[in-house]
Amino acid sequence: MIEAFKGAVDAFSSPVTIFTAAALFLTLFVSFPKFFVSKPATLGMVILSGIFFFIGLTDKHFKSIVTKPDNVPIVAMLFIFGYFTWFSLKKAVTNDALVAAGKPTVEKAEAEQKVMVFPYLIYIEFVVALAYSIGLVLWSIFLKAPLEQPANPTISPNPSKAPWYFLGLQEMLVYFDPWIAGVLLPTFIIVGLCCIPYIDRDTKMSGFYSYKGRRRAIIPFLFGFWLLWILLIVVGTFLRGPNWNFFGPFEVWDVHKVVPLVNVNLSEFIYIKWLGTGLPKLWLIRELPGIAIIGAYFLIPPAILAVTALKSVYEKLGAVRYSILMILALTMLALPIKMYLRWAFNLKYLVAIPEFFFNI
Amino acid sequence: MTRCEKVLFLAVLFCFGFTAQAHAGAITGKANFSGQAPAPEAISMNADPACAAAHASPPLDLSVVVNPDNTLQNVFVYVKSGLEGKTFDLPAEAVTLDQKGCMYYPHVFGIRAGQSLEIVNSDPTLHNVHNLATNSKEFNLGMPIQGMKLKKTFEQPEIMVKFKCDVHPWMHAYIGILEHPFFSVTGDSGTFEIKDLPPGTYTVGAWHEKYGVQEQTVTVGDGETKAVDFNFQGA
Amino acid sequence: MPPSSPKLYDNKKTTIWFSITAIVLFVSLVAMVLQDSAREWKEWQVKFMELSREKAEADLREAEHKIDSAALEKIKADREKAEEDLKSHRRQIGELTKESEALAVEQAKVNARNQELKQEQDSDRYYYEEFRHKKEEHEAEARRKRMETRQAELDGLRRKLDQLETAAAAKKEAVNALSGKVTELDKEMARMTEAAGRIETKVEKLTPDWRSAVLNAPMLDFIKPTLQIQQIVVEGLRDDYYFTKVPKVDRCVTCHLGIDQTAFTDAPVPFKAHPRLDLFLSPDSPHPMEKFGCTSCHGGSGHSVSFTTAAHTPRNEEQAEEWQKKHHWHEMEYWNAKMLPMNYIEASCAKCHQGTVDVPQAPKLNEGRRLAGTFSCFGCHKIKGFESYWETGPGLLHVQSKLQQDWIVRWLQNPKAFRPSTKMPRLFHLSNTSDPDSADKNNALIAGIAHYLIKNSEPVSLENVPGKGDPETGKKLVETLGCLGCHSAGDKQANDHGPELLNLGSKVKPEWLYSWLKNPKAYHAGTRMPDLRLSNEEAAHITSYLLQQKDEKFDSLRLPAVKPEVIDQTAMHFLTVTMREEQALEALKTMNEDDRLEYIGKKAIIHQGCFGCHAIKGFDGAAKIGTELSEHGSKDVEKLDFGFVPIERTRQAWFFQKLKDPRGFDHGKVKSYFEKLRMPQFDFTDEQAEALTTFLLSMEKGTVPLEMQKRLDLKEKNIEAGRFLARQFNCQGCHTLDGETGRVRSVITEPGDYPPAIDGEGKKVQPQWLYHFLEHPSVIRPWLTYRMPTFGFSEERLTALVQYFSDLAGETPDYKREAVTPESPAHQAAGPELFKSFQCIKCHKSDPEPGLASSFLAPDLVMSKSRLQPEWVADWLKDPQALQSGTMMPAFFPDGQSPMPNVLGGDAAQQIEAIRDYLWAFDKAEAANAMEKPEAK
Repeated sequence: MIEAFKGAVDAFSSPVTIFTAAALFLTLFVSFPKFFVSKPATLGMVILSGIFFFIGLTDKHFKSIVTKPDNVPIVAMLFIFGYFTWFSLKKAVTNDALVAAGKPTVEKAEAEQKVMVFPYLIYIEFVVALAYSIGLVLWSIFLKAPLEQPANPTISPNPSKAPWYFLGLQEMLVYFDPWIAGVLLPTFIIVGLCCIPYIDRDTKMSGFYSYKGRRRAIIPFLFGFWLLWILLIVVGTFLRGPNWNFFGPFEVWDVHKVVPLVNVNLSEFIYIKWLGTGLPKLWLIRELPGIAIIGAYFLIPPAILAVTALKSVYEKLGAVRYSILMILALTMLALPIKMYLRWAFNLKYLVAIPEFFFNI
Repeated sequence: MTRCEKVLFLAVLFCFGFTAQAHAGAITGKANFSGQAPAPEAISMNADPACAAAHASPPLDLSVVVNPDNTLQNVFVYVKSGLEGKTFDLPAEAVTLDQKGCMYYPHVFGIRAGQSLEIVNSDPTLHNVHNLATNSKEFNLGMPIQGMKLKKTFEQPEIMVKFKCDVHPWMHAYIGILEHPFFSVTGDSGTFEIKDLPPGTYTVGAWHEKYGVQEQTVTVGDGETKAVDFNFQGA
Repeated sequence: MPPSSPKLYDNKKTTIWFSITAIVLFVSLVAMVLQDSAREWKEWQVKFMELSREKAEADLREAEHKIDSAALEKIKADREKAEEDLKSHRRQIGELTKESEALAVEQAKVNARNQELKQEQDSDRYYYEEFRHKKEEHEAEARRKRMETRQAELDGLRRKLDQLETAAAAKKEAVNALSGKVTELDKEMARMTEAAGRIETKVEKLTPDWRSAVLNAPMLDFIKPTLQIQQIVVEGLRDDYYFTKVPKVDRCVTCHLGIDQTAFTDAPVPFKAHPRLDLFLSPDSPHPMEKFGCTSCHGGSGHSVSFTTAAHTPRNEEQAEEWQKKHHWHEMEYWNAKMLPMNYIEASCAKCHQGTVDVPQAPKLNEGRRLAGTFSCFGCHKIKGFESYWETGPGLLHVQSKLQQDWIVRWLQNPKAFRPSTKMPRLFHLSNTSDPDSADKNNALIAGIAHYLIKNSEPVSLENVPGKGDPETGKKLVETLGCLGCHSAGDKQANDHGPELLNLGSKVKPEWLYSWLKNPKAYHAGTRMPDLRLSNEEAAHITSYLLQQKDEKFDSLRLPAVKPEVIDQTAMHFLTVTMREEQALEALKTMNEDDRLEYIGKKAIIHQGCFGCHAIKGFDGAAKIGTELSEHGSKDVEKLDFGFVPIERTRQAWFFQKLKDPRGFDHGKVKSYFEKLRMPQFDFTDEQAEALTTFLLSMEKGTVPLEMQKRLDLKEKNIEAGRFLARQFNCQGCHTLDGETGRVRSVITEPGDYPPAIDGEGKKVQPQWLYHFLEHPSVIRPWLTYRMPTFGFSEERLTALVQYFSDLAGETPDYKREAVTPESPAHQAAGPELFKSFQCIKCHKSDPEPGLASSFLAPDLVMSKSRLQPEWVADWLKDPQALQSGTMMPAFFPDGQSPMPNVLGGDAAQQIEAIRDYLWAFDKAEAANAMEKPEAK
């Protein structure tokens, strides 16, 4: 029975399905927060994930990957981040209920009280520090840092994986040109994060947990953090094997697995498949469709949204901040869009200019 | 020890030896031969005129000599086991092996380990004494001069050591080297006698150069003489 | 103090949590320290100390046993008595001691005064001389007077000092006389118990107590622990970590503590001593541990001190399981230089022992090397060191004069069907080419190869067999002439240097065999088969005998049909490699059936690399088809294709599997015919495969620098060159030489008929005689039926062989003929006299009558002066058995005594010289003379 379960999981697993399933779950999560933080739902989520994990541990292969000292933090991270997301949402929902009932928020109520730092802060902090030290000491006893062979320059490990915090970007390399995935996107992430305080200057909903009032900020954040960061790290750690092939959680990592991967540029789609003429010689003409699409993607939606759905936002932020926000948001959205284009149409690059090593 | 003790000790020893002597056992017997006795071969000594000159007619090969009463000559009979732990005095005189008329005399004989063997060349021709022992060192000594003697001793017991002459291929002799004096060779009567045996149970072996080895167990009591016969089968 | 602060919550729970976490943290820290300090190797060292202590205690008991307790008791009793005597004299001794102390004080005072005065004296002398020089007489005088008076005092003091010293010495003697006995007895006792005392201290040191526990405690064991990591830093060798080379440090001895001590020969592993301590590890062995370490031979990670990380390799599956259970062993997946399993350990000998034919004391490796040569691995695979190996397969340049095309086809189908003992492997119809398609292709290629070989060989002219030979005579000749020195025939299987003489009637025609026997080099110049100087009759007899035997089964094997379309397909395959399909079809049309067959035959030869073992026309210098094996011992395991074969993922498992089943790695794979694996099937036994695997593992990338390797000096190089030639021409097939017994001895019943043993030949024969003999053998021992063949050696080879024999005997070849003259007329006369008396001519006949058994004949002495070395003859006469044990030559001078006391004063050495000198004047006339004279006396 367990074998059937494992087989089903493996059969279901693929980058498309996992990403889509996660997106759907996240959508539900942010649409019905009150339900997901309620007791039965919480219990249900914990039990289901627990069952999956423990069933998985019976599989030798799964176990060896999950208990590898390198990968234990990732597993821990999943549970910890999951917990904190749920925790903060719970707090937000509680606050929302209180506000709806006209009562002060929890933070405000707490802020009335003033107590001594010692013992009410320091003591607990100290005990937590002790507990944390215990955790680290036990970790050092039971999980040894692996000592591998001296690096042999003629043999590269297969798969060659980046450190876990970059696995998301390495996963992106599947869909994007290295320049985009390795330089442009990380820059955008960092710069974007720096920009947030300057874009979102709204102080009304700050200082306390709130969902209803901060929906516009929380949902993109959860989306970007979970789907485009954590999920990709999980895929890169557990589901990518030799030759960066995709393997289900219970699938053995076979070095010889060969999966056909034929991807076609947009220009080839249009000029060879669709129009039937050859590729134009000048790169400008050749990539014109791609450039046009990208230009349209970045120019048209913000303009339209500024006068329709996001009119209030546009007025509040002003043109410059609005544009910056749109650029960042559209770039973030471009990732899953491109991923789906790849999965659906085997699309390689929208714009492919090998002459300048520039591809999008 | 005091003088008195010494005398008493010697007296006891004398008595013991005397009694041992008085109660010494013996094993006698015959080596019978049954079957077709092979015709004795005459040895051709033409290769060496000096040898041929020493005999009126070519001498007979001594490998198989059957007596008229169907007993076998040149069977070496000896006590194989039963004498463990006992030591026996070594005789001072040497045993002689003579090369006469290009033949070894005696053809089969026994010697004590550590006893001298004196090899004599009574012939005017070159002989060499080549022993093929496994427990002792092999030697090959030339004896070119008539009348010359060589002395050799064997320290390790062995049954039986073959002696041969490389110049005259028909010459061979067999020596049994033992650590005790209880051995005998059958002669033209085909009988053997092993005397002065202390009482006990013994395995007696009989060896013939062509017809192999045989064994029998016999218990000899005080002063008893036991008869043991060996039967060799002809081809 | 601010007003009483409000409570947020009750702290009691926090306090409970605090106490819990504090305790747990403490426990976990202790656990961490303990886990860190509890190392595997410490346990082993404790065990070893226990074992050593037990041994030491046993030794102690033995030593104490040895002490003569009665004598010891006596000494103790004596000492007690002496002590009592001492007591009675105590007062005296006390007084004497006080007096000597007083004397010592006096001495010190006198000495001090002496020194003082001396200094002043010296100073005055200086000033006196100065003033005198400056001509200040007054001052000078004053000083001089002072010096005089002082001198008197100094003399007095010296006298006093002497007196005091004498007195002190006297007092000391007196004390000694009284108490000396005790010290003497003490010394005696110490001497008796010395050995036991030493062992006792050893036992104490090995007994653990609180002191050692403290010194070895965690956190304190940096000061002076008794449990320490032991290491050997191997000078000159470095471990290659790819990006750097680090000095080799072997820490194996941390656990393997008794490895170099004979006392631990029977101890349990890991304390067991290394086998053959005389060869390995002892300071006086060729491989001392301090110089070689452990990993230079065994591999593995010398830097590590845990069982698993040291990369110990189990011998087999059972041992692997045992280790997993006992030591939680797992394979060091990523460590490249894993330890060699013990059944392949000889592979590391070759790291340093290069350039020799055989590596001493490494039988498996040597067998592997020998097999690699015999089965011609180097024919397809380039292997360093085998560049000048001889041709192993018969030459096919003239094969049309020898074989029929049909025979070649049947042979190629399955060589062992004709000759089971053949070294030729099977190339076709193997496990990956057995399906019907491949079988068709096989048959086509075989037919093509046979066709090509016949067509592309030059005919040679063959002699006709004169008359009919007699097979019975032929059989006798084959068994007694010397053919068995290289070939096996019938039930006489002593040698396999040449092919087994089996069923030749089905293979060759009489003219060819006759011509071959008379002159092998006329058929193939590169053959190893020598010329046995057969007469026409002998050759005819042998020919008729050998051709008598036929293999009906083989002859009646059906020649598989070759489909023309398969030939065409195959031809097209090869043509389309260089041409496009249309061009290829054109080319095909221009070839008739014969041409096509020849074409695919040639391509098949290229594909299968036949030219690697056989000389074939048109394939001089063709490139070998196999992988180079010169560094296969270091081959990355990841680069070996294991296919679907479920074997261990190690180099040695792959090599072994490949040797036993070369095509097995194709199993389960989809490949076109010409993509399949090509290595032929040799049918190696497990032992042979293991030996060859050892050989393959021995060829590593150079890790040992040249100066650390065993370098051969010139003499050793010459010997190795000779050994190689001896291997090539199978000298030990007949002769006992250089540690190997002549193989043919096993099929010769009479020891006198053996080909002579030639150990020591370098000392025995003159080099120029040996040179000419090897070039053109002559008869030395006419009663031997075995004939020394004429090998047709080149000048180079002859010189190398003579050098080889000389070097083996420790001589330098001097091609000058030795001159020998008698010392004096008395000597000159004594020579022939002794010769006559000893009757040497009885055995050393010049013309022996036929029929005399070989054991009683000896070489003609007329040859001595041109053949033998004079010193050797003298040594030989002194003691023949010492030079050639088992020889029939009797010793005429046993124990250095001569049986002729009248000649030359009975001096054995002089007599020997006289005989030797006579031999140098001995010629045919003298020999005839000696034969005629009747025996005197």
